[in-house]
Amino acid sequence: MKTPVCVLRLPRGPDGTSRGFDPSSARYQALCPSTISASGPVDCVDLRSEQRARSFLRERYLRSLIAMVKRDVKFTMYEKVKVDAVFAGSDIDILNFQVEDLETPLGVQKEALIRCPDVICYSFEIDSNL
Amino acid sequence: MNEWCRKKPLEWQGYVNKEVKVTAAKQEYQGWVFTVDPVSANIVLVNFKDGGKASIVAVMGHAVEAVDVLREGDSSMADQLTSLFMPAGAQSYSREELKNRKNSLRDWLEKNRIPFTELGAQQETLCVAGVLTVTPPYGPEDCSSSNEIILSRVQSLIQSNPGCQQDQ
Repeated sequence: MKTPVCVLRLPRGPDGTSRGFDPSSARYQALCPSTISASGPVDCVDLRSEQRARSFLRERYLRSLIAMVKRDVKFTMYEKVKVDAVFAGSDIDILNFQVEDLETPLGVQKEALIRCPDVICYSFEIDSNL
Repeated sequence: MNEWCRKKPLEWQGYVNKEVKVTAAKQEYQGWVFTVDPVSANIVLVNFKDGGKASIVAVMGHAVEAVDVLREGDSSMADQLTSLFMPAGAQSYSREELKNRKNSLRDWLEKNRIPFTELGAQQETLCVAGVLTVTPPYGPEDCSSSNEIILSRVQSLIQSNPGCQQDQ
């Protein structure tokens, strides 16, 4: 296990106070829609089937996140950045991933937050218990 | 927001259990669609490998440039995908079995003079004495209550139900 480096701090953002995770910043608002709107003409039956589809899909996604916890995950990010880390958790809007032992060219970060808009894809392996 | 993110949940659901090729940031990712997260539009792709392992790649919704469907999955693929992420040892009961288990529990509660009501869209939840709920599949671990004493009493009661098949 590589020795962790001391905590790196991002430079302050343009507003002078935040370090890139401020939910009230203009960048954040632009990147992340705060509400999920339902489809156009709201027909009762259509809404029900849309909601059913939403919960079906969301439950499966949450289960995939649960399966990822404590596993090694490879994150492919923009600017040809590829890093390995141990997944710890996500926030509800899938905007930030909490990871441990993030391997960066500067060393291993014991705990880190990865911004999801910076990620292109992530991958991991599990046993298929078949 | 790209075209993929603007799709509706029903459209995303249409991709589940299909083998697709996703193009993102000039790379291609192929696999069976396990799900598409309706919040972030992330596509979770599964590839089964030899040796009982599965490799999962999730492409972030905001990065998706194109999604091409390669082929449809059959029901066995659908089952494989679903069972991949289900907790180990999870047992799934048929509607008949659930009905039998519920009736068995109802009879046992009546025999023991415990008041209960049935709640839920399909009357699937039992509300015991107004303070404890039991959800399918009506095992001791499916009880939920804020009162510890009642919880443990009802749990041991369910455990001691002679009419219920003792599984696992």
